Amino acid sequence: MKARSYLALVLNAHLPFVRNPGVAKLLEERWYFEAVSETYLPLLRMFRSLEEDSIPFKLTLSLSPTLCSMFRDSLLSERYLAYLDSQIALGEHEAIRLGSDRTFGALASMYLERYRLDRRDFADIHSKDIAGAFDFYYKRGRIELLTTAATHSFLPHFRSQPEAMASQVETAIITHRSLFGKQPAGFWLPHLGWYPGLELLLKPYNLHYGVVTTRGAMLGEPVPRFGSFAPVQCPNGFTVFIRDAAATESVWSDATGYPSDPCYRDFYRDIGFDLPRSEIANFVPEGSGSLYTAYKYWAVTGRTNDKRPYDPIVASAKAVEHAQHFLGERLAMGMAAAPLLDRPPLMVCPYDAELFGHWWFEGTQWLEALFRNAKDRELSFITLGEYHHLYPENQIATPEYSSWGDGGYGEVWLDGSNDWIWRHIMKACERMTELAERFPDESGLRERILNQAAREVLLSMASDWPLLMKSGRSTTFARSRIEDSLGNFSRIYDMLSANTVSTEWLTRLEKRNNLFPELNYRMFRSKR
Amino acid sequence: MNFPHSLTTHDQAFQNVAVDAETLASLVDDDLRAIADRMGLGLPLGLDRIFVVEEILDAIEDDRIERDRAGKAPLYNEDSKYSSVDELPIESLAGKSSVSIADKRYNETTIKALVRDPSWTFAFWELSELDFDSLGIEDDEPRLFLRVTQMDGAERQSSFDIPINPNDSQWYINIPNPGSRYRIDLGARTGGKSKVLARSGDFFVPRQHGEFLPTEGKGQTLLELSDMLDTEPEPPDEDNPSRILRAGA
Repeated sequence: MKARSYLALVLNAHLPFVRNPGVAKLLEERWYFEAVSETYLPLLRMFRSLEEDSIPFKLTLSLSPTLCSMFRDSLLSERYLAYLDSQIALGEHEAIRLGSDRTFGALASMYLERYRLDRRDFADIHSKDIAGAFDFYYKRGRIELLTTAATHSFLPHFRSQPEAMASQVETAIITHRSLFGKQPAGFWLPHLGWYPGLELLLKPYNLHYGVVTTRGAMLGEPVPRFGSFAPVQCPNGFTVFIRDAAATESVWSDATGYPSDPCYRDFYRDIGFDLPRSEIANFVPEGSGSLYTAYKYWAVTGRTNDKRPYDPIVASAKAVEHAQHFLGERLAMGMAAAPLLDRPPLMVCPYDAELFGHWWFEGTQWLEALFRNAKDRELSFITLGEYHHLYPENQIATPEYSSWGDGGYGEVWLDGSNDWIWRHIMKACERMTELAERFPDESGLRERILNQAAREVLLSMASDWPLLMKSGRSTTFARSRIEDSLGNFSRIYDMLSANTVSTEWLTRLEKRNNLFPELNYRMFRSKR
Repeated sequence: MNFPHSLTTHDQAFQNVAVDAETLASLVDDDLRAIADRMGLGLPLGLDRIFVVEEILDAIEDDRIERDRAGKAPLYNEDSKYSSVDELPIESLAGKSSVSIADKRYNETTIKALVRDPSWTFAFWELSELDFDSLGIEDDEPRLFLRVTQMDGAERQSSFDIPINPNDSQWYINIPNPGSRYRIDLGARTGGKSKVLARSGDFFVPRQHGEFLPTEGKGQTLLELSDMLDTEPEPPDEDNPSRILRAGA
C-alpha cells in the first residue's frame, strides 16, 4: 500500500560524561546505569521482538558522542554489571519482604526479572557493547543513527566561538565514524537549538539535515508554505525538518500527555524514599542520601500522595490504547493535509529517548505498539535520511533562533542560576584557539596535553550543567563538573605558558576524562 | 531615542535592583507604556500612570515568585534523566584555587553579548587594571556606561546609554526592537569626552512574532493543521504568572 502520510520518530539519546574512576560508586554514574536498564536495553529488546515478528519499523536515533564514549568504556561496563548485581540483590530482598503480598510481591518480582534479563542481554547477547547492538539495526536499515554536538552543547550560545563550534561538530563526526564506520548524514540539534547561520557550520561537514521547533520554523523567513508537513531548506541546501506540535504535546506534556495517565507507573514514588534506610542500606552506595532505586510500586493516580498500587497489565493495555490513539490522530492529520501538498505529508516527532522507559515506564511498550498497530494503515514510518533521499528539494527558508527549552529561545541555559559560567567557558574557548595557533605541530607529550586541554574545553561546554543549575537538580555536582573542566584547562594553559608539564598529573587526567580518544586539538585552530 | 535605562536590569532583575517605583515614577508616560507593552501586560489605554507603575511592579514580583517556585521544582521532563541526587562535589584534579572560578577575572578590557531571547541580551565585561587606573575611577560615580546601538533597520545607528558602576560586570539588557542587529560598547566619560573601551561583536536579536502569515488558501490551512499560526508567547495562567519569560512551543 502506498503511504499517504509519513511519520518520523526521532529519539535523542544523551547523557553527560559522568565516568569517574576515582569514586567507587559515583551516584551520577547511576544516571547512565538507569538509562541503560530502563531505556537503551528495552529499545534493543523492542527491535529484536519486532524483527522476530517481521514487523517493519523505522526510527531515527541520535546517540550523543558523550554517551557513545560511555558505551565503549570498559570500566563503566564493569560498574554497570555491579549495579545490576546490586539491583538483583535488592529485588531478591524485596521479593522476600513482600512475598506474601499478591500485589507488591508480584511487582518486586517483575523488577527482579527485568534486571536478570538486563544482565543476560548486556553480558551475553550484546557482549557489553550497546553501541554495537544499535549498529546492528543501523546496518540493517531499520534505524538511522544521527550524531550531535560532542558534549551536547546548546549551540546558539556559542555563535561567537566558531572554533569551539567546529570542534564540537568535528569531534562528533570522528566519534561516530569510529564507532559505526560511517559518516552521519543528519545532526541532532541539542535541545533543538537553532539560529540562522548554523547551517553554514554544518553543511560543509556533509551534515545534511536537523530538526527545529514548530515555532522556530514559523518565525523564519519565509513562512513554511507546507506548515510542518514538509521540511524547509536553507539557501545553502541544509534541510531543516519541523517538529509536529500536536504529536509533541501528546507525549511531552506533563499535564495532558499520555505519561500523565493515572494508571501508568509513578516515577517519583520509589522505595528509596518510602522505606527506612535500614531496608535498602545494603543495596545503595554507602553514605548516599535518599535516592531512586527504580523499585517503584505505585501508579500515577493523580495529583495526590495517596497513590494506588501499580497494575502492569492495565498499564500495558493503556499503552496500546494510547498508541492507537496517537496513530489515529496522526492519520487524521495526514489525511486532512494530503490534498494540500504535492507529496505525502510528513509528521516529525522528536523526543528525548530517556523519556521512554525511564521516566515514562511504559514508553517503550507504547513505541512498540505504534509499530505493531501501524501495519496496514495509510501511514508509514520513515527515517529522516530516507525522507531526505526521496524529497531532496524543498522550499527555501531559514528558521528563526529557537529551542525546545522553556521560553522557546535560550533562557534555560542563561539565567541568574547559571549565567556566571559563560564568561569562563568563552574564555577557555578563546584560549584553546590561542594554544592551537601557538602550538600547531606538536607531538609526543605536548600533543597529549593539548589534546587533553581540548577535551576539557569540550566538557565545559556541555548543556547539561546549566540545565541542571536552572532546574535545581544536582546543582553542586553540575557546578563542580564545570569548575573541574575549567580548572583542568586553566592548569594546562598555565603549564604550557610556563613550559612545564606534569606528566604524572596529565596521565591521571587522561585516565579519568578518557573520552574522544581520536580527538585532535588542531580543530580549535582559528576559523576567522 | 533615549531608551529608558530602567528597562535594563541586573541579573537580579526580579528583585527590583534597577526597576523600582521611584525609577518608574520618573519616566514619561510613553516610556512607561512601552515597558508595559513589552512585558505583555495588556493594560487598557488611558490607564492612570499610577496604576501602570503598580502593574509593572506586580508583574516583576510575579516573575520573581515564579522563578523561586521554578527553582524548587523539576522544570522539564528533559531533566528527569538525571534522577539520582548527589550534592557532593567531585574531587578536582586541578587542585583548589584560592579564587573560585565564578569570581575569576582575566585582567583584560573586553565586553561580550549573549542573546537570550527577543527581549533580553546578557552582556558581561571586564576592565583591565591598567585601563581602570588610567580612568582614575575612585568613587561610585557612574562614569562608565554601556552603549547599545542598533545596526540595521529603520532605526539604524540609534543608540541608548546605560550608566554602570565600576563594580558591575554583567547585566541583562532589554533590547527594544526584536528582529534587528545590535552591538554593545563599553565606554567611559572622562573630561567631558566619551571613549569606547571595548566593543562586542554584532548580534542579531530574534523575532518574537510571525510576519507575513498567509491569511487564506492552502497555506493558511496547512499552518492551522500544523498548529503554527499561534506564534504569540503563551499567555500567563493562574499558576504561571510570568509575563516576560514564557513563550509558546
